[in-house]
Parts: sequence; C-alpha cells; structure tokens
Amino acid sequence: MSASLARMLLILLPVSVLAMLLALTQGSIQIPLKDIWAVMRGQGEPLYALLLLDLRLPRVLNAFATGGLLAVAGALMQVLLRNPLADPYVLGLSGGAAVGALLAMLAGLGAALISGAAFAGALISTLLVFGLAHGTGSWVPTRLLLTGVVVAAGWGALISFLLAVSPSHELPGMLYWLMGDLSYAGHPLLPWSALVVAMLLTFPLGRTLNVLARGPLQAAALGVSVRRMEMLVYVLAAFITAIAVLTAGSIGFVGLIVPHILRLIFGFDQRILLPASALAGGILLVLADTLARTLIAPEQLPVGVITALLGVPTFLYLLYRSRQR
Amino acid sequence: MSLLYMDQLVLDIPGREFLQPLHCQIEPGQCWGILGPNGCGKTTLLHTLAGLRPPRSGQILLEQIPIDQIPRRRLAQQMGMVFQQQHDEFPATVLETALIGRHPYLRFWEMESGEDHQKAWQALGRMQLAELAQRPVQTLSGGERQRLALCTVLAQAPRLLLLDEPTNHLDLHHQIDVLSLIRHDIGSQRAALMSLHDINLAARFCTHLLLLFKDGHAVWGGREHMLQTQLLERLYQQRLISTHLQGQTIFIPDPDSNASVHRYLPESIERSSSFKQTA
Repeated sequence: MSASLARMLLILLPVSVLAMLLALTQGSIQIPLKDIWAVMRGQGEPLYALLLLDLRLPRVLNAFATGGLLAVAGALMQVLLRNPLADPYVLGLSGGAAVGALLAMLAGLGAALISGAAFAGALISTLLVFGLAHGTGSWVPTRLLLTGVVVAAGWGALISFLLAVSPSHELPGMLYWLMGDLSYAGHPLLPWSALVVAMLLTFPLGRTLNVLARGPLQAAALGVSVRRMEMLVYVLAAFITAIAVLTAGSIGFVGLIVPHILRLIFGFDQRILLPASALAGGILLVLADTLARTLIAPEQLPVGVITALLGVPTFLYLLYRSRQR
Repeated sequence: MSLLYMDQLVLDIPGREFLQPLHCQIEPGQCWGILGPNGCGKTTLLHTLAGLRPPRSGQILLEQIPIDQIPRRRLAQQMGMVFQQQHDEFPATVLETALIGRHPYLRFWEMESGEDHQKAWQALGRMQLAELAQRPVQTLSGGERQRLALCTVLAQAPRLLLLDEPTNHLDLHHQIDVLSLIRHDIGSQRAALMSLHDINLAARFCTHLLLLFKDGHAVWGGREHMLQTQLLERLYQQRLISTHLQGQTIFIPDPDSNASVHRYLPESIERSSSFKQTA
C-alpha cells in the first residue's frame, strides 16, 4: 500500500509541476522557461513579471486547486452513492449554484457577490436534497440519487427561465459561467485551503471509505458507523464542490472522469485514489485551461468546453478498452 | 456463560403480526443452523443478531451485554457476518477484499500491519484462493466470491460467526470443505449461526437447529430433537422420506407426492415446542 502510494506520487507530482510550468509559459505571449526562472528570482522583465505574477500564476493555481477539488469530490460521491458514474454535480449542487450566480448577474452584482450567491445556491441545493432524501429509514443511495437528479432538473428549468428573461448583453457572461471559466476566479488561497483541508480529512479515512464502498450493511458489520461516515462524506463533498464552483463556475467532467481513469491505473484503494485525484484533477484542469487560453488566443474559451471535449472521447475509449480485457 | 443470548427476541418483519419470541442461547463450541422456508425471516434474524436492524421487542446480549450498548467497532471484533450477496461495484483485488476483515482492529489512521497481511493470506490459503490474490474480484466465479466473503470473515476472526447461506453458489466439494472449515474454526471458544437450505448439510455440520416456520412459530434445540421427519415436513410444507446412511439420517423430498402437506396446525407445534431449551 505505501509502495503504491509512493509510485503514484512519483508519477503524478513531477507531472503536476511540469503541467503548471507549461501553463505559465503559454498564453497570448509565450514566456520562455529561463525568463520565468528570472522572474521567480525577482529579476526579469517587468512585463513578464506582471503577466506571470498577476495573471498567469493565480490562474494556474486556481485551475489546479479547482480541478483537484472537483476530482476529489467526484471520488467521494462515487463512494457515497456506490456508483462509479456519480460526479460532484449529480446531487444538483451545480444547478443551485448556477441559479444563485445568474440571479446575482441579473441584479448586476460584482464578482465577489456572484461567488457568494453561487455558494449560497449550492448550500441551499445541498440542504434541500439532503433534507428530502434523508428519510426515517436507512440512507438508500438510489433515493439520494433520485432526489438529486430531480432537484437538478428543477434547477435546470430555472436556469433556462433566467437565460430566457435576461437581457442579451448579459448572456455571454452567463453562458461562460455555466460552462465553467477561470477568468473571474478570485484569490487561489481559498480553493487551495479547501483542497488541503479535504486531503487532511480524507486521507486518514481512506480505509473506512474502502469499506463503505462495499455497501452499508457490510460496512456496519465491519464496525463502521455508517450513518455518521456518510454524513461526513456528503458534507465534505458538497463543501469542496461548492468552493470549486464559486471559483470557476460549473466545470464538467473532471469529477467524473479523473477518479475513473485513476481507478483503472492505481486500483480502488481510496488512500491512493483520493490524493491521486487531487493531483490528476489539478493537472487536467491546468492543461485544459492552458488550451482554453491559447486555442483561439487572444480570445478565450470557457474551460468547461475543453474538459468535455477531452473528457468524452477519453472516457469512451477507456470504457471500450476495459470491455476488451 | 453464553456467548449470545436472545432474550424474548421478536424480529421486526413488516406485515407479520405474529412472531414467536425467540429465547435461546448460543454457547461457545456450538454450531447453529437456521432452517425454514423462503421468507420465514432467516436473513432478518441474522441481520438483527448482527445489530444491523432493531428487533420489534426483546434484546440480544453478547456475553451478557446488550449489543446496542456495544460500540460498532467493538461489536465487529466480536461477531462477523457473511451476507448473502456481496457488493462489488468497484474494482478491488481478492487480497484487498480479504484484508478489509482486519478493519475493526485498526484505528482509522492506521495502515494494515504485516500481521494483518499474514492473517489475510492465511484466510486465502484456507479457502484455496491464495493463487488468485491479485485478481480483480469481478473476474471471480460466484463460488469463488462466496469463498472470498468467508475469507474476509476468517481474517476478521470474530468469536461469533453469522453466515447467511454460506453454501450459496458452492459446488459439492466446496460446500463440504467450507462447512468443515467453519466447524473446525469454531473449536471450543467460538460459535457459528448460519442459515441453510439443505437439511442434510445442517444435519451433518450443525450441533443445534433453529426452525423458523412461515406462520411465525419457531422451535429450537439440539439437532437430534429437531431432525424429525414430521417437524421438517411441517416446516417446508413438503412430504419427506428419511433413510439412514453410514450412521446419518438423510432427508429427501418424497418423490411420490408433489402435493404439499396439510396446512400445519398450530397446536401440533405447541407439542413440539417442548423440545425448546433442550440445548
């Protein structure tokens, strides 16, 4: 187990650093590595320093942390719902956040308040789904899943309504937000602290999560306090998803595909899978965002488009390959 | 001192008005079989005893302590359960699956030690699954999965084993193998309680039997008192014939009659309940 953990870190840590370096060099202006090094030492050209420190570095850091949060949230949701196809948004959280954000945009509020409204929307959605699915009996994953799906559909209708009644000049901003976009992200400290907290909390619980994935009865028979553990996982996954959503809107596919790919490579042990998800989710989103910034530069694409365009064929390929084995 | 004591235990089976309270005790060294027709509550009984669902009334004492007062982790060190179905939607290897049996002994931050690995390997060896240790669980056959579930509980090494149809999916050889192993594992310190569908396996491997009737009645006691053709016929609503073979009584369905037995009469069970507590 510790050997596999070391192997995973040995692969993913260098790739993380490389991905972030690559992202720093690319953009509307290419900055060679030696100039990045110079800026980091406090020398180098002022233009490069401005570009790197004020624009690219925060954005790359935001992308990494957001990707990590989404992938970890996805991995947690998959264990909680015992369904490999669950993702962080499956319980309607992104819909609630989107309605909050769109309402704030309609009201003409600033970026900080839009984030706040998105967070509030995510929270309301989480409480709504939890309150409705949390019956008297045990916590059946299908019931939770169904409640989440129906609540998400409700949010979807509200989003369409808001888009329909919004003035046309607001629409591009709204669509970018809905597809997920890192241009308006705030300070990277927030998603990074959420990611660190999530890692510190989940790593020691990894073995319990392994047992929980085998079903509530089996887990209880092996001494897990199932109800308490499920609550913890649910709250944690919802919280870190909300942080990711308020940083960058609802970026799709990272939370579904990253844990899935990693399971194929590193196996199922959550003690390896969760840190691996944090790193690989970060790598994927950093690279996707780099593409989003450069493909049609100086124009930018919403990063959610890139993750979906990369994610769909990769996922289908993996599914196809696993069928052959 | 009894290992497990059912104190006027009434199961909570929805839609079943009458359920006779169970009042029996399981001593170390005993191997109990639960027999009864489909839907009589065998699984519910096992789940209730494992503390996975509350009874309608009465209580369960494990070494004289009510199980609802024992923390889950402690309880899992004392009793282990093999379920009728295993959930493996997620890929895990055979070894990882056996290792989770050690979960109750580890603090949440602890890694499995060499000793835990050794216990898991030992269990795999005893179930002849050691060669498959690195295989994904999904590639195993039904019988192999069933044996793997037993490996997990062997690695857990509880004092009381609760087994829901442990011979499910097993071929003839492995049925005998697994039950012999359980019997051997019990020794004089542990006990097992298992639901079975095969009277003859129960007759061969169990020291005690608990019969759950479809109408809520129950009788229990030493195997020699329970293995009576009339009683078993009423239990399964099926005519049986019995024969003796190499010192063992063998029951088979009567080939001459497909008709079910006359509706079983409650008063006749009152008679047979005198077998109670003969343990």
